[in-house]
Amino acid sequence: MPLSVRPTPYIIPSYSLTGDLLAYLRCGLQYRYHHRGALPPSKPVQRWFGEFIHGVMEEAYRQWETSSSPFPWDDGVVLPIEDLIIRRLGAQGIWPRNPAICDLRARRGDGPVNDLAHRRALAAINVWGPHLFPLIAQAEVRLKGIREMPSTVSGTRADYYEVQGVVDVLTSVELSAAGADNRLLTMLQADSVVARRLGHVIAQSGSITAPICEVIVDYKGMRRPSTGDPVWQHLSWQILTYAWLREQQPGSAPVIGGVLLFLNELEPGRDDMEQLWSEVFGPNAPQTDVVPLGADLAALRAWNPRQRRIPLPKLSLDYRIRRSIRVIPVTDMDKQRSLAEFDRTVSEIEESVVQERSGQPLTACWKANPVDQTCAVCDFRTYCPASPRKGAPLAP
Amino acid sequence: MILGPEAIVTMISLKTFHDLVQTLLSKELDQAQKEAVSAPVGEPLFLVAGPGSGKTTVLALRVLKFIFVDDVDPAAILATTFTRKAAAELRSRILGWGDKLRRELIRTQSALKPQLERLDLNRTVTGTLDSIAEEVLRDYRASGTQPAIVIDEFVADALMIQRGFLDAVRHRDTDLRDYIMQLNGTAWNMHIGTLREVAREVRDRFLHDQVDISAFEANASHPGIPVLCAAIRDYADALEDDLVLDFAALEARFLERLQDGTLSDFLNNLRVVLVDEYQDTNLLQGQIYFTLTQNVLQRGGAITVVGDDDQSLYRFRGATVELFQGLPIRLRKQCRLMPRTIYLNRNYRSTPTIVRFYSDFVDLDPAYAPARVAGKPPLVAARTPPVDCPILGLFRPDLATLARDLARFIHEVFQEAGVTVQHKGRTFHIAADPHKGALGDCALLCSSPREYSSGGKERLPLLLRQELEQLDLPIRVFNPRGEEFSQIREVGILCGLMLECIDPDARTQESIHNLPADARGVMNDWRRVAQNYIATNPQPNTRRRSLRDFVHAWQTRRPQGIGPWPHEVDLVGLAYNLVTWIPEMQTDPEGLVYLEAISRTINQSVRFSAYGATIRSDPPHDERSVGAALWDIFVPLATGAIDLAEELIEEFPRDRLNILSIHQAKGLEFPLTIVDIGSDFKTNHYAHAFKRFPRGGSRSHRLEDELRPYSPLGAPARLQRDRAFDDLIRQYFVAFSRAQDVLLLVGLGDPRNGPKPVKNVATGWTRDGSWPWRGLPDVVKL
Repeated sequence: MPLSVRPTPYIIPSYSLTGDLLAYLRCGLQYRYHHRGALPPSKPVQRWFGEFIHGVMEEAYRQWETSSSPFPWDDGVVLPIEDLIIRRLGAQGIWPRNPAICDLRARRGDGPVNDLAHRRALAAINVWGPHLFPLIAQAEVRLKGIREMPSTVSGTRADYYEVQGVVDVLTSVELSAAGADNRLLTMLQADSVVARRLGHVIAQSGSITAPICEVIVDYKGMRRPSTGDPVWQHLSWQILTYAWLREQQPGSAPVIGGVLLFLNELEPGRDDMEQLWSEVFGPNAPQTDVVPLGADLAALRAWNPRQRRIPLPKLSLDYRIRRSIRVIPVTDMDKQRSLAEFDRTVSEIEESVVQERSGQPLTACWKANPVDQTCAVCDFRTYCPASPRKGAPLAP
Repeated sequence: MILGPEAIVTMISLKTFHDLVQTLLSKELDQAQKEAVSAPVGEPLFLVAGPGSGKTTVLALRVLKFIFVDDVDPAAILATTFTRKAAAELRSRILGWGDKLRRELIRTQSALKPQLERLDLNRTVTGTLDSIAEEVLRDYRASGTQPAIVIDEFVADALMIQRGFLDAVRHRDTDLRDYIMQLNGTAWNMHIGTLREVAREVRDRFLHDQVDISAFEANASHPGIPVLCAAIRDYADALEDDLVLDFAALEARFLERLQDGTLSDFLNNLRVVLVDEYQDTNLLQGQIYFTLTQNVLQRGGAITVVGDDDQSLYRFRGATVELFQGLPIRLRKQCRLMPRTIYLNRNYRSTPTIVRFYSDFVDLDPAYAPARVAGKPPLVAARTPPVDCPILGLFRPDLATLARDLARFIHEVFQEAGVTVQHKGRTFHIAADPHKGALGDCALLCSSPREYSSGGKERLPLLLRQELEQLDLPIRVFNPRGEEFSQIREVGILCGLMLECIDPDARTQESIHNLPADARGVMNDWRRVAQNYIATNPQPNTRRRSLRDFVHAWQTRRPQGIGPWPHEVDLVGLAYNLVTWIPEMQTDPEGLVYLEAISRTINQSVRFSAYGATIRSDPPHDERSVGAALWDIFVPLATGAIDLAEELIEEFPRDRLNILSIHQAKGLEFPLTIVDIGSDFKTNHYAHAFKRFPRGGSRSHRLEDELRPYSPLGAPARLQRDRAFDDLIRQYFVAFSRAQDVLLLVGLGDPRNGPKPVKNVATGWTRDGSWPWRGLPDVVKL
């Protein structure tokens, strides 16, 4: 008598937009180690800052909602928020481990706090808080949806996959609130596609006072990516997919656009400045869509990134603000294109899962994506088959 | 039945729904299943679901019936189950089948199209109770309150050791030690790890059983009780100081918030609650479900409870099976509800012979009957397999022979033409499916999958693995809990290399006099393993860039690159560097699981370790930081404080033989199930009586007797020894009922005619000392 074949459980795989899909697009093998596995990064500064700035902005909004304290906020208000978030992250085992980013000793009272995390938190709250907080309808909105598993996957586990994400902020845009001094709305309406979409929605709804459409806002604890960097494209897919997910929810209004806030740009660090310099003056320049002009260009030109003792150039607040915001128009066609891209990504991940299950070595199943900047700080660079830094490491 | 104020609105008729279930989803429901799926939204149900009775299908379809027939908003449905895996499976069924139904209805019922297009099945709330509690506390957090941050068990253990014991030197308190010895029933292994383990279990029980701690302390029957309570209080304060919760505190916080009105936005959305595996619920969880139920009643909803008292396995984690048995009475008292009881007793998993075997087994001991749900009908075999193989037995006089013959049996079934068995004039041939069959179709279930006993004796999982590896075509086993974590080869190599790097010649290690002796022994073993590994000169090993060079540079703190030795170096980075020379941790999913456990331990230690898992280079911090790493990282790794979290082990590989504990096997099924019913004993020695024929209760039973008089549960109605017997019967009932096609029992000795038969519940002994199944007459001995 032949034995039955053990049935495999029916599980629809669930993918997070940022934790899975964007991470996989950065590097498949690194995604397997850090995300599907749970290997913590040895240098968690970037992860820490991302979580920190999200936490600070969310908590600041909650406090503003109850107190409506006028801006600008000073250290006396912002530092306790930062300390609370640092404690919360510590409770989750996430520590900055870099005093230049977050000087825990100074924060314990050993000196004035002037680390990068504080300067960025202060700037983010005071630059964007007054314009963003009054428009917020919901913060931390969790979205989930299912899609059919791409047919290209052979031997997949399920006929669907689940996709989920957390939108930092959903704003309900009311035209009545669109005061001329609201920087966020002004920049949104400056985008011709968004403005056209808004006009179309108004015409259809016949109302100009009720909340008629939504805008998704996502905080990014990073610099504005170069236009040549694939991440530039990936971030727009993220917003477009959020828009699709949001529109599946009952009670949602049409999403006309998305806004990415690159909060590092408000207080750039040395690495950020070096990259900006190479985007403006390096080969294939310009590699950025917000190029410096006038005094900003002159300040940047006068700076030499190779001389590390020279202080960073002072860029104008206006330029830094313009670099910190990216508007992404949302159209049906773009949404479908981004969904197709993520379907393709899921299909690649599922193929890797199938291969891994068949017993092949992990390094052969998961596609590495050797990009020098990613590899330079990658924890697995000494044994990743595609790494330019493969080989015995040097102590320490 | 109570009907709520809301009018019943339907999207499609119940008949259409059932037609679609049959035609579109190809699901044939039996009468009881159909009744369970069809019951109205406002009718509370008590589903007593035997093994293999299709309860996941019933639960998923009941949820879909609420959505498609009763027009309940998916976000108003909350369904919980016991494990993350089971929750994922339930959710997948709801989403997968739900989407198929939605598309079909959009295609065929144009009037419903707008409504169906807006239907968002993803909003159905599913998960384990803990995951849902965490999610709800996060999503509905009031301004100014802290989010619920739940810590790893290992971190909670470290906090208990530090804040509960070491800070106040309670671990040396003789009263406390005496009390814990009394609870444990033995003076064996009275080290700080044991104190921590007992203190955490008592702390969990305080919350789970809603114990009146002050009354317990005030009536202390032993001077160690106030000391233990003080340790637990300090631990609880430490959690609060750090803004974190352990799992018991998470559930307690959830109940508190449900009752104080701060979660009213969440509660006002809910309409129905479905709870699976209720037999393993504790009082605190029960109160959460009752609070939710009282709430949904106001909106015309109700609760559906599913479970099986015969499959309750988690008393040691605080489960109270009486809560399931007494559910109808409790619901009536607390919620004024009278649930309808439906028995799902048709078994679709096992062959008729196997169903009869475990059905008879659970009925064998008359003293067990009062511990079961009253009026429970016997299981009915609903599957009609092409061949109905008899129950098989493989009993040998010694462990080595048993392992050898079992390995041969597995080899013949999966690598040869199969095994032929004669029984009552019939011939049965057992072989793997020629096309899709694989070793993953078979599992060995044991009370423990460990390869060595706590006394260091070799056990069946070890000898079987060795026998299988020696076959011409070696068979690999999948037994992630087989070895102590510290004994795994790759773990030894990596930990040993790290120790050799940070603490050459064990200078700091030897200078710490109070380092636990067992940890010191393991660390020395690791160092030896690492030194031998370095001697193999593993690749990459180019000139001056070998593992030996790397370790030497660390030992002398002379950098291999340019620049001075840094002020501090983090240990996670060191671990990843060393993995360059350990290929199993780069390419093998199992090796990666070990690396994850080590790196997460290092990372978690940052939150309580003085030097945050870094090694400093400036005196005196250089030596102190090494000492902190030894205490906070290597001692927990060496002394078994680290367990491989269930979720790290993603799924069972198809190409290996699975060896699992019976607890791990809960919810699973295997075509060929081998149950170890007695490879650990061949005499009636008292030392292993608790595994086969208990003389009294274990620690969990003693704790129930200690604490329940101070809990709303009241003192247990059954004696400790009876509860111990009940638990053993349940354990083997679960084990036997995992089998689909063939059930093979293995053990030592000859159950037919030994001179002094071993008393063993698993072979059908009853607690009064009689043996109705004398000689296991219906088992075909191989």
